Amino acid sequence: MSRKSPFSRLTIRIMGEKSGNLDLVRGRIVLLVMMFLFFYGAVMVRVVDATIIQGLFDETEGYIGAPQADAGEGDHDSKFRADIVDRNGVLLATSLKTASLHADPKIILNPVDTAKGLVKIFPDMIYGEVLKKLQSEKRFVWIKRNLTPGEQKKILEIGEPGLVFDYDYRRFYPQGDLASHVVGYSNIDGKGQAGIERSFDNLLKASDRPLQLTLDIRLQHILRREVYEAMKSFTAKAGVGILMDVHTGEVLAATSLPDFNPHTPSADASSPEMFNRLTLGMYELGSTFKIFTTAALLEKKNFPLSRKYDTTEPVRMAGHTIHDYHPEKRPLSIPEIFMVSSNIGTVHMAQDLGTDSMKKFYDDLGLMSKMTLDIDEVGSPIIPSPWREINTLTASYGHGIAVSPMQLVTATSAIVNGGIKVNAHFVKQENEPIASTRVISQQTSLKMRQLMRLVVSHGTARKADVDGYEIGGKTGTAQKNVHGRYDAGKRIATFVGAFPIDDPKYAILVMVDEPNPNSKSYGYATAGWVAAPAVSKIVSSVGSILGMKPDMDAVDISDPLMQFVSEKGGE
Amino acid sequence: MKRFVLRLSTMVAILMAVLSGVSLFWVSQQVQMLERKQRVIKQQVVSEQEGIRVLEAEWDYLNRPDRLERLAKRYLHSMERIEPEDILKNANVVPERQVNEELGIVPAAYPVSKPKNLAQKRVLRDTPEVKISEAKSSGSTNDFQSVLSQIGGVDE
Repeated sequence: MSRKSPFSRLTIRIMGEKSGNLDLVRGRIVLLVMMFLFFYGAVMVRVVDATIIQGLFDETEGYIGAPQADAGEGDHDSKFRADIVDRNGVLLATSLKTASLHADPKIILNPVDTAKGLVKIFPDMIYGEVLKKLQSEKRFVWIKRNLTPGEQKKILEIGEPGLVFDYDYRRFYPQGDLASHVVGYSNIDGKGQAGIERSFDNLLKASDRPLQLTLDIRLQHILRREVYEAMKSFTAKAGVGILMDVHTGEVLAATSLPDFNPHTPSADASSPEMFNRLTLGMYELGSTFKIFTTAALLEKKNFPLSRKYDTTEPVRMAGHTIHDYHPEKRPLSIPEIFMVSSNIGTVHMAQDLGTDSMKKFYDDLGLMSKMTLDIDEVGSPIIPSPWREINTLTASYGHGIAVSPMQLVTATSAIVNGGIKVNAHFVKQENEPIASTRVISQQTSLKMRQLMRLVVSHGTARKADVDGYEIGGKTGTAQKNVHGRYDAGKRIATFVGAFPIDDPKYAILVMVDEPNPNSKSYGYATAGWVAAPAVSKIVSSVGSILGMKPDMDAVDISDPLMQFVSEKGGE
Repeated sequence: MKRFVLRLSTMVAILMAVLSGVSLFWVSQQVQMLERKQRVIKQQVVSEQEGIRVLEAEWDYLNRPDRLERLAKRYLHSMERIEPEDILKNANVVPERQVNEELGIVPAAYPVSKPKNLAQKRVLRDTPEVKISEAKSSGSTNDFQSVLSQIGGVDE
């Protein structure tokens, strides 16, 4: 301590036995100071490393355009919904994150330039309005919702700190109105309002795996196109088309026209385009029910096809008279009755069958109760109550009983697929089929297929025929019941059938509501003129998509029935 | 008088303390750095996934069956819809490929039912037309914005 320090006068030298302890303490202080210096040195090295070495030379972290911290996480909130895809994985509905722009006028630096820039990006905005918004005293004003990425980029280029983005999910339907009644739609709050969107609302909200439907959009498009075409050329009110796998009950295509754009659904729930005619609409589907009456008779009574019923006289009962549309006025065999669609013959068959048998059979086919389906829009069939004998007679040819088109095609599938009842569904199952209840025997099913083929090859549905894909089916032209009276001017024309009829794979239904005769139909607006040609066009288009080999040399399975058809009946 | 003496054990203890302190600092710095990197990468992944979702939606939007049908009708005049009669069971029924010597064009196999000269005329007429229209179509559909705005509601 030889150095003169200004404080030397204050330094107290303690001599004696305690001085040794003092040195010890001083030594420790020096050591501590050194340690601190060392640690600070380490921190300084790190600071230099972080700011100069990594900060300047290594730019991977702070690159321009890095997503903001709040853009990714915590945003997987209530509005995200899982995708809905068709059977091939094509998107039917998807949730996309979109940015919405709002502004905080308090921190807008230059309202005039910002407003000019915004008007340039969005030509539909009015400069004055935008400027007024930006100069207001509020802390929050909406500028524009749901921007495209391109618009967002341009806004970022304005570089105005007062413009703030909000990220949220919005539902998009890339296929537009193509399958809108099945897929449905969800509202702006991300809540399903119709179709699959509504019935699987909770699942779609919770899951992030896509929900796969049984639809195939290619088939859906063809079906919709042809039903629309039929509707337009016969100036009809509405149309329905369904294509179903007869073994599994998978609905491959289903359209209900008019339909709606799921991006802009009508606010009025009762408007015609919002009504799902596939499953909610109940219709008296007319002669197509003869399929079931005939199948019931063949199954329960085991009558030979040659059995004849006299159709000379109209049937009178309980004040009703049942006529034929094209009266043959002679005894007809079962194939003839089916082929020319004789109401009188079918009524006699129903009398043979009996009310209880028929009701039981209709019930087995699922025509008497509300069907189970994976969308919520399912209506209950309209069944006469009480059921009198006259109801049996009218129900045999599809009047006085109203079911949905989906029920009709499901029941028809069971008749043609060998007799196994199927469950119609829209959501793809891991293990198809999901049902196996026998309703009719293999043999009856074969007979029914022959009869249905006969209708197309020689009967009322000849316009449905496609060379190479043998179609079988049944037409039905029903008068509509308007306020309790049947209106001869308002009809529902239906064709329901299956193809290839020797071993059916697909069932098809086309229904046209209130068709009017056009210039080419010679005054007719019956199912044979309206629905059958549409079916022909659909089947010839979908055949190649379904991978079916056309068989030009196929033997017509209805040929053996020709022995029961007299020349006159064959026209 | 006691001198301040560093014992070896003290030295070692101090050294250990210093080393562990520095290494702790270093490790914590590394962890922070990596966490930051990870966060950035996660965000990139999320934004890429969002991008993929947008592109998938766009792809399916552009491949709507009605649009493909419209484009095919407009540009592929010689490609008609396949009718059941057009599908042959036996490939040998298709005639041999023929070379048009006059033009040096090798046409694809002709459909059996169609007369030969008709098909050739079509090839001639359609080739330039397709080129023009391709340019047109790419001009109108490449605009990402217009596509997205269409997805957003206004159906073309």
